[in-house]
Amino acid sequence: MRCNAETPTQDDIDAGIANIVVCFVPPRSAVFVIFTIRQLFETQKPWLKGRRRSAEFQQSTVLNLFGAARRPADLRVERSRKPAVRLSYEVSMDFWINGRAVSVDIDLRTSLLDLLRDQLSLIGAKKGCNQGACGACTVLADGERINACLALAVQYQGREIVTVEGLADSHGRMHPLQAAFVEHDGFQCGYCTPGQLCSAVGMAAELARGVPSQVTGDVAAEGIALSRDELRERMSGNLCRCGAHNGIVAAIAETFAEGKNAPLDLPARSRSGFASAEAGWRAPSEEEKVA
Amino acid sequence: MNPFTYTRPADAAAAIHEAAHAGARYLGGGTNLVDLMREGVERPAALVDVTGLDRTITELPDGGLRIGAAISNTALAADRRVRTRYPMLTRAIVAGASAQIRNMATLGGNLLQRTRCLYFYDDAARCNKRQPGSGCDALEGFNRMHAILGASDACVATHPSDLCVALAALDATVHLEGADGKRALPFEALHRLPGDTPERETELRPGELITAIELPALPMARRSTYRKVRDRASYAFALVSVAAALEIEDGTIKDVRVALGGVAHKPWRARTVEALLRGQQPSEEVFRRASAGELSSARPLRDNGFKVELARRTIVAVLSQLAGGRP
Repeated sequence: MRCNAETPTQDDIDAGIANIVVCFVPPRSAVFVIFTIRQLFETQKPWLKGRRRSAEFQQSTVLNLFGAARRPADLRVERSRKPAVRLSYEVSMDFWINGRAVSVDIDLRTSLLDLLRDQLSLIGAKKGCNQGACGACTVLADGERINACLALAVQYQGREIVTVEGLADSHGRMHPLQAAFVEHDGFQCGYCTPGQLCSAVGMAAELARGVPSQVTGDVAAEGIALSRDELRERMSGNLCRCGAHNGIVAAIAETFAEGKNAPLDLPARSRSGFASAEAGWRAPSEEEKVA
Repeated sequence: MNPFTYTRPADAAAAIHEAAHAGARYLGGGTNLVDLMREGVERPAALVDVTGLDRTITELPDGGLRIGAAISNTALAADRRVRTRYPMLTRAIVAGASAQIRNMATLGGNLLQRTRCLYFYDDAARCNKRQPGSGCDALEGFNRMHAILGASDACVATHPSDLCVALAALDATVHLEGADGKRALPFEALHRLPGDTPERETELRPGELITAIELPALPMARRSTYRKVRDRASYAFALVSVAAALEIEDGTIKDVRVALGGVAHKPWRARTVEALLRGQQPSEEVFRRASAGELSSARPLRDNGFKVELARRTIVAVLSQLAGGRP
């Protein structure tokens, strides 16, 4: 049985261009039946590229429809039969996500974003463009903001990953920035919000470290104030199609105004117990919103 | 995405050994390579992750800097020595991509990123760079973003890097290591013009690894800058960009460095501008003549004629700014 190049990754499925392979493995039988729907919709690729941008839809429909095609069990069969290319398939990897150690068997081609969303059910980080253009997938790695969609998960083993699920404290109270987003209507549909939040937290840390930006007047000077221009430039990697930018800028400006909330040492805090994904999400109480 | 094997060597020697396998590619931050693998443009059989290699910045005896190629764009731009001695380099880096991508991207990877020509990405289009000999659909296609200098009938793609434009202007040196040992290249000799072989983008030998970049001591670079002109204020590739440094002594131009981005298959060192300016008294008129001299060899395509005038004006604006004492 050959499942190699035909095995769709999460990315392929999201793009709708996967070769869908369905492997039936009858009990106690050596007979494998393979159906391959080669390059599903390939001729309509431009259309699909457009559709890819509404990735949530793609994910829910295509994955649910063909979810069986990528069940790890099917791939494991392959692994045992082709040890020479074992590394191309599932590898056990160790991650540190939102203060928790996680060990998972995943395909080497898996992006950090797909690991979070599909393997760990941390669906806060969103898949917008899946090519590093929109910022909806932004998470923090060792306190630095990155695009999880462009990150191969294998490169992030042992790093401290914080997603939007890890921003609240151990009591489930929102991060001050989250509260400010609520206060300032920093979103409409909410799709870009987890990325905006993680990005802004990383941005505040960069500012505190003195990382200059394109609009910094004198890059040799020490100490950069968070002016509106600096804020807007530094957040330009996060798009909001609803146009909630005014609220987003206001919330970030208020949260990280000088002397207010120093950028939080999130990885260190996450170790001491942030709300885990298992704790699940709950609506904040009125009291918590104010806090 | 094709299947691949993955290794993360601890040192350059081990990385070079791993990269000897057929179809192996070095992997930095992945911001370009992973995207190209998804599109099927790149199909490496093995990824050799070099992000664990040297990422330090060390002082050279003459006042220059040696920078490990695994350093992130952000770390390089934010280093105090780089910000103060080579402000054009910091400005070039922070003009590129988004903060998220700059945090992931490495110096070595930036040097080797592929063009953003849409026909290169689109496997339904003809592209001599992606598939040698197939033709170039950009020549008669939508070529507003394409090259005006040094292009050929085989390829009109541009080099997308901002960082590299500053390195070209600064006379950086590229340190390489391969199976045959170590060697160094002047930065300008790293990238190639397309000619008949646009698939060959650099002078790197198979399996060769970029280990470090050296910046020479260059006091004049303290008065240097980078300006990028693009379709929106942030987070877009350059239509035209200019990296420049200017040294004026006793009212005449003692030395000048100018390099252009967004106009050619490689970062374009504007040697004609430099030659026409040395020894002259700085004025807008002199800058205008020098920039016109450089652009006299421009061969615009159907949609990108505007780049010729844009490049001229941007060179004049940046040099006037530096002559006025504003960094």
